[in-house]
Amino acid sequence: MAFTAGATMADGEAISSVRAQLLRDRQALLDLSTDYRQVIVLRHYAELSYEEMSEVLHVPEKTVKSRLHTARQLLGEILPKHGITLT
Amino acid sequence: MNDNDRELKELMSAELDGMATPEESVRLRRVLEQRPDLNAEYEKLGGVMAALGELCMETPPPSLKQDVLRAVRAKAAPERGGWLGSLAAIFEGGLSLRPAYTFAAGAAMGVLVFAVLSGNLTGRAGVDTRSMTGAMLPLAGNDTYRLIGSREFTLRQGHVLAEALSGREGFALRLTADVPLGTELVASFEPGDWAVKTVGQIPAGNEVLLGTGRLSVRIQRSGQSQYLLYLARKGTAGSPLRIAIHSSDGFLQGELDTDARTSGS
Repeated sequence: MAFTAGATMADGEAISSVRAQLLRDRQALLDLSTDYRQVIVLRHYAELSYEEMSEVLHVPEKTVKSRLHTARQLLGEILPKHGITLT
Repeated sequence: MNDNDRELKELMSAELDGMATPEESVRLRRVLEQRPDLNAEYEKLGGVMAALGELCMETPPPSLKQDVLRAVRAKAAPERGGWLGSLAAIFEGGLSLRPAYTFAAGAAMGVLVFAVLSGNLTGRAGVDTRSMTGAMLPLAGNDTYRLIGSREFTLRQGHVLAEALSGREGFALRLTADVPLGTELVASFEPGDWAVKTVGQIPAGNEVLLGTGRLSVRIQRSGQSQYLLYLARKGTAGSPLRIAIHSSDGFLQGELDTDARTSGS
């Protein structure tokens, strides 16, 4: 018995689409190197402050700010390549 | 880039994060008015911030930040790159939770990983929050999965159906559970043979944690729920998955074959 998205029930296509979007978004973050991915995840998903990120990463706050800036600059190039529009 | 420009770029990040002081904000505005190059960069960064907010990720639980900080502070001498090294490893497809980490660290890691990797369906734009029914199987990529085996576990108050599905890109485990609150479902696998591709739960609301060679679910809401674990085969070996169920009824366990050639289905 084979299962394919959309073949087993109508919701399948919608969910498959969400999953494709998720994989695309995840891949966009994977294009960042580890140092930059860390600051993006800690800032945007864990919502840590600069001070807290400095504590977690064991680097000065100045470094946190600098990495965040560079990570966002890089994402400015990476996201459009994955079809994610910058507004 | 000179020191002044470097400072201005850090100031841009601070402003975008809402962490600049009023004086810093005024100073930045004045500079941006005089520097079209920096102003263009600032606007682009604003676009990145907006895009990050729209990425298709599960909204992290409110406790995530506290869990992360508690985990880091609970460790007496945190090693540079340890916790985050594990996080990075997970992002890159491997799982390397250090066994010495506190439960909080594990929980924070699991939740964060789940938030980033899962196809969990939440209330973000365009996302479906309906419950899963029937044989629906959200698929990773465009692969087609074939049922190669299943095993049913019957409790006094509920049941769990574990299904093994094989596809070109790997293997998927689907757990369908209708069990008492507090029940823990554990799927364990040989991490040397399998790499986690993605995880999903439908509907959202139960605690899902990923560890090395292990997916565990603690049931926190009543009703039927379904969990999907997609694995990529690392080599030729296709070691079986082990399923364990801990509930107030007792303990049940069993294995699921992952090899379509030997499953007999």
